[in-house]
Amino acid sequence: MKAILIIVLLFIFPLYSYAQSKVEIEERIEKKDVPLPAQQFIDSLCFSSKIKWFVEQNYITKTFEAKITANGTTCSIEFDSLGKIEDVEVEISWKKISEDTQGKINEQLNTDFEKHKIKKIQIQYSGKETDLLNFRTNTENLTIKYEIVVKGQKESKIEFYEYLFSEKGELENKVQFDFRNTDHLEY
Amino acid sequence: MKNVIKKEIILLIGLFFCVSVSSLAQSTYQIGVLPSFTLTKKINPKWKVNLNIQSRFSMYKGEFSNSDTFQEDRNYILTDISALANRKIGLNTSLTVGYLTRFRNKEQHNRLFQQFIISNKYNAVGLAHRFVTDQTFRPNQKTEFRGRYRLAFDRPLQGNKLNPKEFYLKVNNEYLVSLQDKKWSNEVRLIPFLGYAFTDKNKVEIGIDYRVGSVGDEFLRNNFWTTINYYLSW
Repeated sequence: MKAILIIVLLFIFPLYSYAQSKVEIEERIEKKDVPLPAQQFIDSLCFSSKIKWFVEQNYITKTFEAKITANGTTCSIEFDSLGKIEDVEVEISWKKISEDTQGKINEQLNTDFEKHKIKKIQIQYSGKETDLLNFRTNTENLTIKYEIVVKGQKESKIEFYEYLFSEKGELENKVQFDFRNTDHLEY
Repeated sequence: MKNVIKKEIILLIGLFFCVSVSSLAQSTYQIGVLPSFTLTKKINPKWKVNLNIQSRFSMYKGEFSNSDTFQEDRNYILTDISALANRKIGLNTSLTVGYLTRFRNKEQHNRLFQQFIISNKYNAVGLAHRFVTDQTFRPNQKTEFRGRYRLAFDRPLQGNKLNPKEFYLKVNNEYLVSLQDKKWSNEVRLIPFLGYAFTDKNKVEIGIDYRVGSVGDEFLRNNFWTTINYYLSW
């Protein structure tokens, strides 16, 4: 009985660890390797800038991502493994978030860390495919969230986190990144 | 931010080439190999210690203005052993103090150094600014004081994140000024590397370390070192 319990715990522990941290392998791919529905979605948006395609894999899921940089703004469009649109993320500045939402996000980050620095903010649009096709002009029917990458210090430990907040600034998800080793840049 | 980084890199490359072209007037060169091994141990979230061993071997030398001076020069030059203690002082900043001992021509030189490092990541690009002051003590010579600034950047060659078993590009650009016995000298270094990450904490890099430096008003020396760096952290 004790042995069974240990085996069960051994299986549960890696799953629990996975839920707390974000481990993804990202790889650049050619357009031809992307599912057709994803290619068609991007083609219909008629971007004039170069489109870079990536596949992201973790232990469970595989997603495709198109990244476009136009007029200094980076836009990431994510698809599931079959090429169905999941969401659109556009990099924005802190000032673009309403003051009420900023206040709630700050409150959360100040609770979580002794010191923190926001490294990247993306506004995330999700909804029906037909509505997402118009994300640049009409966001009325879309769900808006904010994905924020934060470098934070707590109990002298510095880590990277990815937060997901609702449009009103309520915390929806928080995952820890693997800390990137920079010894080869510093020494 | 990307535009700022692009401008910064273009400016540095421009400055470097200006210095290099002016150096062709009257200058010597040395070609060699520079292997180095760096071990880093994280003691706790704030402190890291680092040990580095680096050697230099010359292969060829000559003068740019006279091709007849090109000659083989296969010699062991020196070995540096350094130990550093690094403390994080902010989210992106750290301070380092270190000691280096150099074995050259049966002599031992000693150097103390102090570093301030700012490291950042902008999407795929990693950037580190390193400011160094050092003091070198050689037998029967006055102490040499140097000030150094180095900009280093890297980016993965596959995707936006450096994953294990992937290649990356790294470029170091460093500017040095030195004062010894009331004489000033300076040096510029540009080192493009191709790196390979076995894991996040185990990396190897190969590159060409080009150094151009003046010694007072006398002449300019150019060094081309084939550099092989191995980094191991735990």
